[in-house]
Formats: sequence, structure tokens, C-alpha cells
Amino acid sequence: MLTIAFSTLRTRMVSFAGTFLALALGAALMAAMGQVLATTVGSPERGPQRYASAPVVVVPDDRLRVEGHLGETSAPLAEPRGLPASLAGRFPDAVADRVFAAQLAGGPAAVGRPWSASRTAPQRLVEGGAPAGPREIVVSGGARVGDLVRVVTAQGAKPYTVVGVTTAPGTVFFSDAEAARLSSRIDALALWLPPQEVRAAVGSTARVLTGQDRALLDPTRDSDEQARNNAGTIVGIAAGFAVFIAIFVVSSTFAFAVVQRRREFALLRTVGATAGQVRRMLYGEAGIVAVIAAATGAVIGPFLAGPILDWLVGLGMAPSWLVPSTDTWPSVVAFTTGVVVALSGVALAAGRAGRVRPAEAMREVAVEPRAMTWGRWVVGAAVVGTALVSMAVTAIGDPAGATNNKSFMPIVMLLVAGAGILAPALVRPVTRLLAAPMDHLRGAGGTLVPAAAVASARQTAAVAAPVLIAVGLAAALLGGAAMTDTAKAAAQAAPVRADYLVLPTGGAGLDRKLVERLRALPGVDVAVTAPTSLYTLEGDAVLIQRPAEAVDPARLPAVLDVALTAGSFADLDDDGIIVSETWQMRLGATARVWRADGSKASLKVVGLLGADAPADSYITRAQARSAPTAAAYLKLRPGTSPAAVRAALERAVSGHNARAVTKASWVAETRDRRGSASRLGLLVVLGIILAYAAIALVNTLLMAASGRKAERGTLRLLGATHGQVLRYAAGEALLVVAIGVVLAAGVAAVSLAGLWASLVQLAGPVSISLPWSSVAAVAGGCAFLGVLASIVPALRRPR
Amino acid sequence: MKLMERLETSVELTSVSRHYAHGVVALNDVSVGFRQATFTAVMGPSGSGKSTLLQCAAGLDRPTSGQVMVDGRDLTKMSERKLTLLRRDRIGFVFQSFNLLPSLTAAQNVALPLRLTGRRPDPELVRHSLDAVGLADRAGHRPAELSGGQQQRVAVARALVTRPAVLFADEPTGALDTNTSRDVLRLLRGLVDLHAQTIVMVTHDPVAAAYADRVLFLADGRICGELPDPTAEVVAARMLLLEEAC
Repeated sequence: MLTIAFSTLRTRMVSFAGTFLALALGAALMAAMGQVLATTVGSPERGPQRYASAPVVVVPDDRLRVEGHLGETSAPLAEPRGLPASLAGRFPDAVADRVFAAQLAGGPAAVGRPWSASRTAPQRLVEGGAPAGPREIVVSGGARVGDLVRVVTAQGAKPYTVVGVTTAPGTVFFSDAEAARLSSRIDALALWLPPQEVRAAVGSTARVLTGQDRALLDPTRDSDEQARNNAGTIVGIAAGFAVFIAIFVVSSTFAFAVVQRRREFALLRTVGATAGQVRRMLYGEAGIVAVIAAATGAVIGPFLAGPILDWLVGLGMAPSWLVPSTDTWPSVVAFTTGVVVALSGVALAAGRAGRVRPAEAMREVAVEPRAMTWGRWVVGAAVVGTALVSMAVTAIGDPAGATNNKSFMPIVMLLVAGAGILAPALVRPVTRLLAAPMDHLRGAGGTLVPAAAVASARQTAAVAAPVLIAVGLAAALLGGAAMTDTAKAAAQAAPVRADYLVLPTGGAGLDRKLVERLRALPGVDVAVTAPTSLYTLEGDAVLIQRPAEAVDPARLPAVLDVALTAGSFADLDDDGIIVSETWQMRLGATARVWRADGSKASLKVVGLLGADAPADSYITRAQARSAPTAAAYLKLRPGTSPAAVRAALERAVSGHNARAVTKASWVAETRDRRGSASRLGLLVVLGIILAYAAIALVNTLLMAASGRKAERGTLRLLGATHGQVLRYAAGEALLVVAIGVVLAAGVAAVSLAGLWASLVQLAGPVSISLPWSSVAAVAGGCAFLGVLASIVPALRRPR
Repeated sequence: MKLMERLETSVELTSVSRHYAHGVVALNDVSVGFRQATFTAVMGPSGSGKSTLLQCAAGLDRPTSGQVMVDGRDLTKMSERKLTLLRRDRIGFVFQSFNLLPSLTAAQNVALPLRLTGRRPDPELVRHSLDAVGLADRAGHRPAELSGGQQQRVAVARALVTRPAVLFADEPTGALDTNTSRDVLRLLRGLVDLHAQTIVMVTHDPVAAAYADRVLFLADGRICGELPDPTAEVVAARMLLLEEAC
């Protein structure tokens, strides 16, 4: 049967082109994504950077360890606790390193360190010399030797003179004494001693790191890990989608081909082919296409890995120092998967081909079977029902869960699949609806075009399916994302009473001097917040890290509307805490907590938060240690001139690496900046879906056109001009695309309505802002491809 | 005599009825035999059941009741798979619309039934079959490159390559002009006379029917007459009567 399969392939290039493209693209994506994954996962660890020249580094334990009744339990510390001065005193030759927020006003991101610590890495002065006095600094960029610059630290903004420039990445070096004054905490001791000696001296009071372990202390370590994880997730999702949709395209094109080739299969059955032989022939065809396509993709794929990696690095989704992998396994996996995908995609079609009865070869006209079978009704209704029920369950039971893409995406997928399955039943009414205005047109087009669509409802539904998928998913997912963003931003903004916010632009937060200046502004109430962490021992067994907001209890209620079910902010003092329901504590109880740096505290519960409070707990600034101030809220008192405040704000923030924004523009910013990683994942997935939908649309239309060559001939014989035939072909394509768009609109409307029902409970009525332009572009693209794919085969004048 | 007849009979239908949905009766208690090395034409008005008769006799359709014996084996008791294998080895088909696979060459089309048995087709046998229908020089052509008559002769060659017990032809000249029709009918006649082939042909053309040894007339799913050694004029007259009666 392989010979027959080969011959069939040669003469039926068109119907296999789509399968080939889908498989080659799928395999190429798999290979490329696999290569990117191999790069992000398999890249060798980056060597130590900050302490590259110091063989031994002593750092404090970075975990909080507590003895619970089930044994030791630990959690990572939110804030380093610092090395005891006594330990530093034991190593007089060591470099006592301090790392703290310090940045030139308006300059690049940087940290502050003492000049002696410049020895810990092979960095050198390119200009000038070492800082000699407390007012001298060495920078790594943003200023020249001799410049007088302002440096913003948590203490405030002070002028310094630049005396040197180094090659160190993002660092401001102070004199050792000035560094010690700015940050009393010793973060690390860099030593040039044998490790055993150091270990013996340190004991268990601190960690001694050598070799590759020193890389744990590098500043980009966490963000790099995060980026690697992000890249892995996006790439994994993309590869998974590529495989699933390739199966979909392959199975739909083969299903379509089987309908078209019924007579051929019937003939084979008549001359003695068993059902198994017909099945094997289809597997053979799919297999040959798959091997060539998957091999092509597996070869091309690795070349795409470089650009994809660059793109991810450009988006900050992957660390820039990765070495592109040259492994062969991604290509091998892609090739194998491609072949398996093709064979599983063809399984259903092959089964159907095997069931073609031999007597069908005798019939002259292939009558399309009924549009809907019982099974199709049941499956379609079940799929749509599942989507509706899970939507209702989410809306009633867990409205917050609806905003999660992980729960919204499957619902949309189910609805799209359901609409696709029920599509043949919907073709007739939708066509009537769309064709009603055409009926009044003169000429045959008004009757011919809709009649063709209705007569073969299944084929029409098959062609409309890619449009349904492309437009439906684009509208539902993009619309859902826009709505969720709006709702989340609205929910975040709802409790904010302030008129202005001051936000930091650098790593130091709002420095102390700036906060003092803001508080001194006349006619405004000012409150600042600093996010920090608290640790609780849950069930006396497990240490849990909880986010906490350090606030000014007296001023907060004026700028932020935080609903309390009991107690009040007025009672919150340095020994008090206001907690959410999840703490399961009563008013007046004592909460045993550990602060962000691991120090212990007992706080009295003076207030209980409502269910939708914006934070998990509130404490005072005194409990938050060195947490940087993340925001200042300003509320105008009655009678204060906004213009005057605005001008005073601009003066206050200047030179402090901070900016003042109105509440409105802050809301807009939070809405637009939300979840870029998950948004990127969404766009990648959507891009892959659109690419495959385009392939499927063009392919089914080309196949349908080749099956209707005779019909076009008949039309010509009846006196239709060449132009008319082309117009009918274009009209049919447009009608089919329109049917797909109508179905997609239904899917999008239902899924967005379900989402809206959930969001209303979270954030009140939200405006539905559909990304009309993107959806219109997708629909327009479908129409363009559809018309193109149906006109091109009709262009050839019959001989 | 009875035994002799059975030995010589390639196809035997006994009390065959075929009912379709909605109470349509295509065949009503038909009993007929087709003896070896004979050429039978089956005629009748549209809807008389002649195509159903052919399909039941060939094992393409299953009768509602009755028995169909081909080559001494009962088709009605066979599994779908056994039936397929029997069709492959013992039954040949020629259709009105030549039903060649467009993607295969003439030689490949002829070799198809052999390939389906899983054997490597003997090229000599294929060439011989094409030679027998006068198309040895067209072996490498695709159907689209052949005329209608040539395509039908390829179909005949394909039907005969397995040396079937019986060849069924459904309107084999329906899509051909007079001259090519005559070539194909002469070819069929020659097969019966020279190679003792059994042929059953459904047709509505009295000229075609005249090439047969006898004509069976069908109306309303029953056999309503038989004409040995037909001539075109007599057949045409009988058909006119039948059609008027309907």
C-alpha cells in the first residue's frame, strides 16, 4: 500500500500541503523551543561575579530556623540579618563588605559598597583613584571624575565628589568609614585564608562559602533564576500548544480529505482492499508526509532558537549570559513527536476511511451525510455544558479564581470546541441571518452563495472552524485579559483616597529626607507604606512567611480606606498589629512573630481586616527594620490648591530618585503594566494558534475548491462569466468566514459575560473594553486569506 | 442434469430479496443463475432493481433474505473480511465511470488488485493483461492522459488480472461514444468466446445488450422475461413494452 500512498501524495500535493506545513511548523517550533529550553535549563551555572577574587566568603545564614514541635522548620529571610561585629573582629585582614541601596540621582541602577570591597572581584579603576574622604566616591557609570553628584541612599540624598571610575557593574564605592555610616550592617566578610581555618573559626554562627557557592551571593542570581523559570514556562507552553494544534490541523485536514475521497476508498474496497488496507494506506500517506515534514522542521528548528533566545533576553525573560545549546536531542524529540502527531492525527480519519462501503463506488453523486449525528449533538452539548457549569461555579463560588488565566483559558477552549462541534447545526440559521440582506440583490449570487453553504453544512462548518478558533480565541482571551486588568486595577485603586502618590524610581525606595520633606508640605495628609515580611509558626510546626505593610497608623486612614471588622488604626502602636482573617486570631490576642530579619517579637492584635483588604497585616514602621519605603500617599485637605501642591511635590522629589503621579495616572499605569510574563505567554500562545488557524483555513479552502472543479465547470456552461464564477467563489469564502466570525462572537460573548459576572463581585461594574482593533485585524486576515485561497484555484480557466 | 448445471454455474441467486428503508423493495424474491462462459445482459427501466441485483450478486450489498452462491460459496454467510477477499480473488468489476485511481498509471491500476493481496505483482502478467485489451503501449500513462475508451479498457484489464470467476459490468458503455462502445463490447464478447469468461452486464442500451448470449428483463424488482440470442431490434421492442407497462 506504500506505493499507492506514494503515488497519491504525488498527485494530491494540495491536500497534503497544509498537513506538511502544520507538521513542519510544529516540529520546527518543538525543536526551537527544545533548544531554548536546553539552553535555559542546561546552561552551565554562571561563575561567581561579586566575589570572584575572594576565595572564601563568610555570610550570615539567610534562612530563619525555628524549632517547631515536629522538628526544625525554616523559611528564607526577607532581609539579611548581618554578621555580628565580634565575628568581623576575629578576622582583621578580611574585607568587611556592606551592600546597600545607593544610586546617583537620575543615574543607573546601582548598590553602595565600601571601597575595600573592590578587591573581591577583578575590577579595576579606569580613571582617577580611590576615595580618600567621606565626601568622595568611585562610580561605575553615570558621572565623570571631578563631577559633584547627589547620591540617594535610604538616609537621604547627599552630594559627593566623583574621584574615580571603575569597571565594576552597577556600584557606587564609598570610603569604608562612610559606607559603615550609611549601612551599619556587615553583609559579608571576604577572606584570603584557607577555608578549613575559616570554618573552624566561624563554627555554626555563619555560612562559609567557597568555589561555585560564592555565586549564590551575586546580585542578579534571583532575577536570573526567575527569568530562567519564566523562559522555561513560556517555551514549554508554546511547544505544548504547537503539538496539540498540529494534531488538530492534521486530523481536520485528513478528515476533510476522507470525505472528499470516499469514492476512491470505495473503489479500492470494491477491487478487494480490506478495511485494514485502506486504513494502512492513509497511515502510509500521513507517515510519508510526516517523516519529510518533521525532518524539515527538526533541521530548521535549531536555527530559530537563537532569535527566540535573543527575543526573550530583550524582553528580560532570560538572562543575557546564557550560552546557546547545541544539543541534538531537541531535534530528535521534535522529529519523533512530529511523526507521532501525524499518525495520531490521522487515526480518526483512517478509521472512517476503513468504514467506507464498497457499493459507494457505484453511486454517481456523493451525498453528504446528515449535518448532525446524535453523537455530535451529545458531545457538543456536553462540552458546552461543562464550560457553562464551570463558569457558573467559578462566578458563584470563587470569583477571584475567574481572573486567573489558568481557569479562564480552559473555559474558552471548551466553548470554542463546543461551538466547533455544534457548528454544522448552526450553519443553516446563521447563513439565513447573514444571507437575508443578499436576497434582495439582483443576479444569481444571492441564491447560489448561501445555497452552497447550507447544502454542505459539514464542509462549511469545517472551513469555518479555523475562523472560529482564531477570532474566538483572540476576542475572548484578549478581551478577558483587558477586562481582568481593568478590574484588578480598579480593585487596587478602590480603597485609595489619596490625590497624589510619590513613588521611587530607584532601588533605595523613598529616602528618609524625602519623606520628611513630604510630611512638611502644607495642606496635605501624608502616609507612607513599606512592604515587609513577618513569619508565623503555623500549628506550632511550620514557619510561614506573610507579607505585611508597615504604615503610619495615625495618617493612613486619611489616604487609604481599609475596612476593619474590629478594632481601629488608632490603636496600632509599635507593639500592635492588625491582621487578616487568615491569621485566625481574636482582638486582644498576642501574635508571636519573627520580623523580616529574623528577630522575634510579640505583637498585640488591635484590629481585624475585612475579607477584601488590600494587605494581609499592618504593623508600624518600627517593626519593619530596613524595608525601603515603597510609596507615599498624599491627600489634599479642603482648601488646598492642587496646583501649588503639584509644584511643591515636583520640587520635593527632584534629586531624590522619585516621582509624583496623580491617582488617575497611577491607576492607568498599574493596569497597563500588569503581569507581563503571563501576558507574554498569552500572546505567544495566541500567535501559534493564529499561525495554525491560517494554515488550516487556507488548506481546507484549497481542498474544497479542488473538489468543486466540476461545479465551476457547470456554472460556466450555464452561461456564468469567468468574473461571475470568481465572485461566487469569493462570496462563498466571505460567507464562510462570516459564519465563523458570528460563531466566534457567540463564544466570546458567553465567555466574557461569565468573566464579567465574576469580576463584578470583585471590583463592581467594570467597563467591557474589547481590543476591537486586534480582533478586527484577525477577522480581516481570515477574510483576506479565505478569499485568496478560494479565488486562486478558480482563476485557471477551464479548457 | 441438476449437478451438471451447478458445476457449470458461476453465480446462483436463490429467492433473493432486498428491502431498503421506508418500505422500498428493490429486489423481490429473485432466483437466477449465470452459467460459466456465458454473457448475460440485465435490462430494465430505471428503478427496476438491476443495479441492486448486480450489487447483491457481487457481494457489494447484502440481500435482506435469500442466498447468493459465487463459485460454490455462499456470500450471505460470509464476514465482511472474507467477502472482501473473495471479491479480490474471484470477482471483477467494470463501472460506467471508469473508476481508475487518478494517481496511478495504467499498469499500476491494473496491478492494484494483485498488490492488495500483498503479492509483488508479476510485471509479465500485468503487461499481458494490458496487451489483451490492446493497451500494452500505454502502460505508463495516467488515466487523465487516456481517452474514455482506453480508460474503460484499462478497467477491464484490471478486472481480469486476478482471473475472476465472474466479471460484473455496470453500464460499461454508458459514458462512451458509439465507436469506443463497440470496441469495449467486442472486447467483452471476445473474453467470453476465447477465454470462457463469465460476464454479467447491466445496461439500458439495446445495442450493447445484443452482444450478450441472453438478456434478462427486470421490472419492479422481479424478473419478468428472458431473451436468448438477442438482437438490438427485439430488445428495443421488449424494453418499450416494459417501460409502457410501468
